[in-house]
Amino acid sequence: MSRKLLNRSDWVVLGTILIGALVLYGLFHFLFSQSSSQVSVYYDDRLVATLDLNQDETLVLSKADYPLLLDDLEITVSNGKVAITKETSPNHICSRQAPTSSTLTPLVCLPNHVVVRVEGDSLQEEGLDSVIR
Amino acid sequence: MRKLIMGLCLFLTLTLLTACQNGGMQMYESHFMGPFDTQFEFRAYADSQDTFDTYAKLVEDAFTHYHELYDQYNTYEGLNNIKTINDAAGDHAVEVDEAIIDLLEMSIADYHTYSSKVNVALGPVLSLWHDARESADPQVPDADSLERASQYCDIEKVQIDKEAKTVFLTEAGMSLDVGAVAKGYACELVKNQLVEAGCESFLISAGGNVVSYGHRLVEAKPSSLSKVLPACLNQFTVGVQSPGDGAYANIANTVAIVLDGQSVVTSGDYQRYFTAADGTRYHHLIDPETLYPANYMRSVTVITEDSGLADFLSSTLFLMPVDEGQAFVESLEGVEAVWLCNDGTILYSSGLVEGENFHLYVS
Repeated sequence: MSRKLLNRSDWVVLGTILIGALVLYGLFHFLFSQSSSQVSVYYDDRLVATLDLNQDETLVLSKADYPLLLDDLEITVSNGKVAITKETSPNHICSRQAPTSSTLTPLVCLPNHVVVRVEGDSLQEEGLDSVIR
Repeated sequence: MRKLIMGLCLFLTLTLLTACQNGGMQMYESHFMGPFDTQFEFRAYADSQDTFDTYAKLVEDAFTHYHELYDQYNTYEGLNNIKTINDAAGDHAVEVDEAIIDLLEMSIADYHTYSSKVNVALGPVLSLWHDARESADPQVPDADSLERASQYCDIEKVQIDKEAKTVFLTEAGMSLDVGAVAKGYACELVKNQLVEAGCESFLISAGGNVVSYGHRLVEAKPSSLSKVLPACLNQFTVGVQSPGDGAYANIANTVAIVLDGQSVVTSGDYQRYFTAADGTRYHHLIDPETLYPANYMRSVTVITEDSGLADFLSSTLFLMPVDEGQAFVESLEGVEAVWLCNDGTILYSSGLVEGENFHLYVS
């Protein structure tokens, strides 16, 4: 009488391990991948605030707290997009940038050392690595 | 035997679900601002965060160094740079870093080989426009001032002694302005340093300049773009931003370009400009023949392997009529270009093929 190498309970155990590992893998990627609704605000290359594209709000960075600013600076989330809505810079170059919800077009305000970035996987969402300005 | 088989299966399962499946390589990214008045984005494949951090530090340090060398507005202790050369115009030669000598020699050679539209000795004219843009109350420079300044822009009076590593502007009043070429040239230098450091695949984005090396080491996930441009799954791909106003209002991206180790540089009229009292916009790309901003197009993007050449050619093409630029590009091997015309028309050179290495978002 032949004897099987693996019996039914062995296959159940192997299947459980494999399914469990796949579930953990999927959870890991889900938990650690940033959604493109998060907005990060950088001042002098330091993360100083985060905003939610799904929640209308205005963030004010005051010159008193951030001395490299030319003056107080306002960042507004409205209708799923973020924009720099009040600032002081030569020819108001910072607030001229169109409101954005794209991970590929951060709002760059060099005179005030501020960058506003929509976080997410640009490659997955738009198939692009970068957008040239 | 049964335990051995179970153990092997468990081991294989764990191995398949770890980072080992791509040889341990994954893409990391970092960003920083400052050098060349630009926001930098750096993406590279590495086997660990530590390795990537080493590359990222190399990139930031290198660009900071080249920014200081090519700076015409500020001096730095212990360093002779473009401003040092300008301050000594008509007086004495200045000993400088080889990177300055090489940039100037390349620029002067390109001036003679390709076009006299980009003149690194146009400093006196460009500084008048720069001062106007930076002023709290911008005024258009008057024609007489521009004409007088243009008398001090003879590129043949830039004297380079390669052996002594010196540069001498032989006439007082002369000044160098390398803004049209310096960032692209620096990108090429940094690219070479990264390759030498062992970085196999990377992309650096510096505002209007992108330099790439290698291909994706991990295939990208399907996207809306990959349906029309499958090559973007395995090769770095960049978009060109729309000017966002005029004929390009309500348009985000205009084209997508697949790179094969190439660099891309865009010159456009919508980033650095001032608006005069009468509502006329004056941008920063000045035609050396008219001494005023050129208005043949909204932007031009050049794709070629060498980033320094891409920067020089994009500045050149912006300063010539579109049809002249098209003929010029077709005469050059290994160079492609995209023009965003004033009326909203998008033109591109023959080496860019829809669906192969190029996609036009707006038809």
